[in-house]
Amino acid sequence: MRKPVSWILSAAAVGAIASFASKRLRPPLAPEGSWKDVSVKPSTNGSQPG
Amino acid sequence: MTRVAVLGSGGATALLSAVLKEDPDIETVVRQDDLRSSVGEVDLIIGPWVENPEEARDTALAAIRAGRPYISPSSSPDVVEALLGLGSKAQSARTLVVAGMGWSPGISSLMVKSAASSLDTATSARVSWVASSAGSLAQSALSRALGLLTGEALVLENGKRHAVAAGERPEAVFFPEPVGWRMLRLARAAEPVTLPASFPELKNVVVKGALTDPLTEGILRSAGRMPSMGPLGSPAFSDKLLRVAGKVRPNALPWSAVRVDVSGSRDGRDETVTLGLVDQLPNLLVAPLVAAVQMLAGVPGARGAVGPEAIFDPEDFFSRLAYRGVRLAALERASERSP
Repeated sequence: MRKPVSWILSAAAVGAIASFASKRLRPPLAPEGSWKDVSVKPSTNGSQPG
Repeated sequence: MTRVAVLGSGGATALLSAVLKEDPDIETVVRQDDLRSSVGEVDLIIGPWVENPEEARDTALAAIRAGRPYISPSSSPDVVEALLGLGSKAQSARTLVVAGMGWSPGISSLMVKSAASSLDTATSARVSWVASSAGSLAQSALSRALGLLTGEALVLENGKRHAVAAGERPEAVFFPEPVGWRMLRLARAAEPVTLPASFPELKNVVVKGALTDPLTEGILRSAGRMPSMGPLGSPAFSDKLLRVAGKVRPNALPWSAVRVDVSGSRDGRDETVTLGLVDQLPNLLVAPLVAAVQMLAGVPGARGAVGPEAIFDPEDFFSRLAYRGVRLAALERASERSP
């Protein structure tokens, strides 16, 4: 059975490579669209809704 | 005036108690480990964040026996299913159990209800979440993420529920800024259990999740593949690993996010409605429970065991979340914008 430390090191190595690859090798994606705030405006007199 | 018992221990429970104490409509907030004392002295009980369905069921049964409404924040599909199974007991006791009142399910469920209300028929729902590994609740957030991104995930496909390996089917999903694009994978989740009960036309429900930091997520998912027997599978070792993972990137993005895509038809045309929101995880855990406590006063005759989408009005819910700073946004796709 492998020792815990080797699990951690191998997991960290895989994660680091994945992180590097996701940031450096893949071109940034264009935004899918724009997000529009649709929340009901909370009351401004300090009282809670309802 | 409402007297509320908040069960459990930990950072989220402490934060919830503190926030509820600020509410002028809440008379007292009792924070305790279990229901053995003072169950008769409160009007409403908020259960603990637990993963064990038997423990969750026992606690809910104690509340039912006392005839008190019970709200569970647990996201585990096993816990949610166990609590929904208490429907007849809650009906007989003329009280209510709300299962899955967290951020996913919970906020996500009411986002689906809101999106579905603008369609004539809703046939598919995809719930996506990304959880920050930074912040005051990082340890518990990581612990829950480990449980949700490993093991078996439930999905509803073509009207049939089945289990697939969590962590499969990677897909890039776009969240409101500053979270933006994230790579998500299938997650263990309760929405495939709860949503079809309220929306029988939904034939496809999938839930995908990720941590904001891919390095921490890689470590967690590797941990989830360790043998369950022996020293590597012990809870003490898992806790140690989670602490290490939480410290790897202390400066990770502090924002967590939820997005739902509900597809169906409107006026005879195929349509997808997409809603999203971003906030810090402590607020996403606590705000839906505070809203639920306030809203239960408006449904005094409710009985049985239900998911949040079966009982709460999304417009009222999201106005209460907005009061706590959690704002709902709709995705306007580039192709949909008017010239």
